[in-house]
Amino acid sequence: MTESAKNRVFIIAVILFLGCCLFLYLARAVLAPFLIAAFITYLISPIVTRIQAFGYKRYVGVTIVAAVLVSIFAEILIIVIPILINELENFQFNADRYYEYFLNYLGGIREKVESAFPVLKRYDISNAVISKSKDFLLYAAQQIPNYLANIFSVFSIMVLIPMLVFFMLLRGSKDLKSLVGLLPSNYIETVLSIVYQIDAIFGRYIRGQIIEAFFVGGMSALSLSVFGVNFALLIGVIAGLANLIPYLGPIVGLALAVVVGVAQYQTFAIVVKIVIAYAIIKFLDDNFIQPLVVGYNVNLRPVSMVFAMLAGGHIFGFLGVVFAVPVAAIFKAVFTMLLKRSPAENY
Amino acid sequence: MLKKFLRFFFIDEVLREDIAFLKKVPLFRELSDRSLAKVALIIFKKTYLAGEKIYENNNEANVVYLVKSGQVNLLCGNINKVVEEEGFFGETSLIENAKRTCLATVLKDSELYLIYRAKFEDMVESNGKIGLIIMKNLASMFAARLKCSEV
Repeated sequence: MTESAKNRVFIIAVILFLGCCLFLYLARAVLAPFLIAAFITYLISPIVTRIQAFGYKRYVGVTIVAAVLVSIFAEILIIVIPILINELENFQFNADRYYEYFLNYLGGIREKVESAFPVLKRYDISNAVISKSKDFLLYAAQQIPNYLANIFSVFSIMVLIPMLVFFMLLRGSKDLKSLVGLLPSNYIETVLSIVYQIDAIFGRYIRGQIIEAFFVGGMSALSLSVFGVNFALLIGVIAGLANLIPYLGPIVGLALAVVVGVAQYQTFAIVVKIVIAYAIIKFLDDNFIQPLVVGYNVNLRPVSMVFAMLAGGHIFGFLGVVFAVPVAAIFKAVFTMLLKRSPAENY
Repeated sequence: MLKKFLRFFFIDEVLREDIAFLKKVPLFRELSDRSLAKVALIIFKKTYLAGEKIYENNNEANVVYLVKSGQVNLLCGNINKVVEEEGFFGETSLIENAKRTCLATVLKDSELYLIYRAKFEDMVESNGKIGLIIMKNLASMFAARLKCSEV
C-alpha cells in the first residue's frame, strides 16, 4: 500500500470512528438496555463456553445457564424481596423521624458555630448553608427514582434485557470469527490485537466489578446486621450497586450506615464501629478481592479516572459513570498499542 | 433413531471435526478431547488464496497458524520450507511477543486455523495442564531442531 493510500485509510477510519461516537451520543437514550445486556453477557459467557467445551452446541450451554440463572433469580426474589420491601416500608415510616432528628442535629451545630463566630449570624450564612444542603439532598433523593426508572423500566427488565442477553450469548464470538474470515491477511493480527485488548479490559473489569459489588454489598449487610443497625440489607444492596462506580461503594455504604446508626442509637460509639467495619471492608477489597478478580490494574491515573467518570456521567448519565473507566482504559490501551507499532509495519 | 436425533440437536459436529483435526497436529499431541475442544473454541478460521502473503519479516508475531488444508511456503533467510496439511507455523508467537523473521506465502489455496496468543494465554491461565503439555511439545520440537543443527 502506498503512503497516500495508507493516509486515506487512516483518515477514513478516524471519520468512521467519530461518526460512530456521534451516533452513540445521539442514540444514548436507548443505549441502556444494550449496555446492561452486554454487561451480563460478559459476565456469564465464560460459563457457556465451558459447557460448550464438553462438545455440546452453544445453545445447549445458553439454555442451561439461562435455566440456572432464572431459578437463582426466582430464589432471590422469593427470599430477598420480602425482606427488602419490609425494610423499605420501615424506612418510609422512619424517614420523617430521621429527617426531623437531622434538622435538630444541624440546628444544634448551627447554634454552636454561630456562638463561636457571631459574624455568621449577622449575615444568616448558616441558614443559607442549611437550606442549600436540604435542597441538594432533596434534589438528589428525588433524582434517584428517575435514574432507576430510566434505566430499569419494567419492559427493559422483563423482556428486552433477557432477550438481548440470550441473543448475545448465542452469537458468542461468531461475528468476530466472520469478520476475521473477511479481513485481508495483512490486517488480521492488528484487528485481533485491538479486539482482544478491548475484550480483556472490558471483560475483566466487568467481572471484577460485579464480584466486588457482591463482596462490598454482602460484607456491608453482614457487618451492619451484626451491629444491629436497621436496614442492613437495604444499605448493603445500595453499597453494592454504588460499588459499580469505582471508589463509591464503601463511601455510600458508610454514609448511609452512619446516618441510620446515629439516628437509631444516638451515640458516637456506633459511628466508630461502622467506620472500623467499612475500613476493614475497603482494606480487604483493595488488597485481596481487587487483585484476585480484576487481575491487573486498568492502568489509569486516579485523575483521569475521575475525569472519565464525570465526563461519562455528564454525557450518558448513570451508565456513563459505570462504563467510563473501562472505555477510557480501552482508548488508552488501543492508542498506546497503535502508536507503539513499528513504522515499518504501518498497518 | 433417538441417538441420531439427540446428536443432531445437542452435539456440535463442527467442533468434533475440529477436535479430530487438532488431534493430528503435533503441537497438540497428548491433549485430551476436552482440552482440544477448549483449543478449538478459540480458533479463527480463514481461507487464503494461492500467492497470498500471510505475513512477512518484521511483522508483529501474535498468531500461530495451523494448516487445515493446502500448502504454505516459509522463506526464512535463504531457507525454504513448505508446511502442509496438519502442519503449523509461527509457533514462536506463542512464547514471546517478537517480530516475524520469515515470509509466509500461500502455495495452494489453503484453509488455515489461527490461534491468537492473548486468547491462548487466557486459556492456559485457567487450564495449566493444557499449557504444560503444549509447551512440552514445543520444547521437544525445538530440541529436535537444535539436535539437527548440531549434526
